[in-house]
Amino acid sequence: MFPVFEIFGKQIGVYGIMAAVGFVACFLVGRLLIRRYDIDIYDFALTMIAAGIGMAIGASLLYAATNYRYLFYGFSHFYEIGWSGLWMCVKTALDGFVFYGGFIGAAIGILIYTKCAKDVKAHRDHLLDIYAVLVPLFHGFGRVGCFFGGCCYGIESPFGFTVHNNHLNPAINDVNRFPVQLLESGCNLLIFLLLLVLFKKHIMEKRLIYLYLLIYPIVRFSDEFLRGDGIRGSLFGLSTSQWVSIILFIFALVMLPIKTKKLKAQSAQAAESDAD
Amino acid sequence: MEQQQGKKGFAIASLVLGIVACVISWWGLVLGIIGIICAVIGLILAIQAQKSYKAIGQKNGVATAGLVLSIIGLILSIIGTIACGIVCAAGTAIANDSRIANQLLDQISSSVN
Repeated sequence: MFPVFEIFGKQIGVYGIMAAVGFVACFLVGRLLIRRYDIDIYDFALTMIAAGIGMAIGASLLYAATNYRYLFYGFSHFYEIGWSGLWMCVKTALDGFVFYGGFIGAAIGILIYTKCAKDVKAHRDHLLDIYAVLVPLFHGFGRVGCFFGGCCYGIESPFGFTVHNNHLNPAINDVNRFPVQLLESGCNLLIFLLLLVLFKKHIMEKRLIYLYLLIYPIVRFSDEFLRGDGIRGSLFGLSTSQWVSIILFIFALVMLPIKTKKLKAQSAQAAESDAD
Repeated sequence: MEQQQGKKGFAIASLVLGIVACVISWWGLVLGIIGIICAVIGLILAIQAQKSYKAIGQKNGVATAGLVLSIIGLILSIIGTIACGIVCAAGTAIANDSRIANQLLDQISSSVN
């Protein structure tokens, strides 16, 4: 579609704009959600920064893991290709992001920050709830960015759009493709609205992240069949993202009852202390 | 004590880093990444400064300016640096095909030479 446009001679990636818009939207929604727990706006901003750093590292690392051949070649042939060649290999290996890597990285960032910062230590579960609500919102904007950028494209299809002259992702050109990016963006918006309603109604408090991990992996596993790019590699007929979806779904299936039991025990204990 | 006066040093540092991020984010991939790093550090310092002044019931224009410029610098750096479309077709799909990977990597070798 329109992967880049020029301002004052500088090429601006539309994906970057959508990512920035998504981040701003998450901050604006998040500052409304934190009011319930009386979390300071600056503490929330620092939590978002920790999540952002974790997201960038996680997303890049998982992408690099699927591009390990470039890294392997770069380091093993260093004496032939030198620093310039190594830099090209490293740049290629790290030149993209995988959503699941970003999701896991951001969650780890929040967990580390809430462990270290005394001001938000008590709000760890609340912040994870807010994170669960905001992730699909950000992801929805990101997928629109993918649509305009021409990456993460769909399978050849009679329904959809044909892109021409996309120099950033030439594989997409001249083939009518299903707009799977828009489908996933729409699904993410629905997930965001669902989790927002549950948050507002205090349903599944302190467990929304597990609910998200029960819903989104199903969506992702399904729409991977509509993806036309093998960009994250495949294993035994399933894409990398489908395998990660299975793992995260099982993780949530195991953790949700454990967390529910733990919360029930805590509230029973609190009720006993009040009675005393 | 510095705590009673607010973290003035943090405020000034955040202003400087915010300005640096706004300026260099526009000039290429490497500078864009450095811009992101500067903006994030500037943002953290500005927030810490704002918190310290809020704790003593004061406001500080330098910290506010540092916060605003760091946010602008971060947005500019993200826009200028991150493009999902940079992930070209010579990504994993090709890397999984060793024949094409070898050809591409031969190109890397020849381009370096």
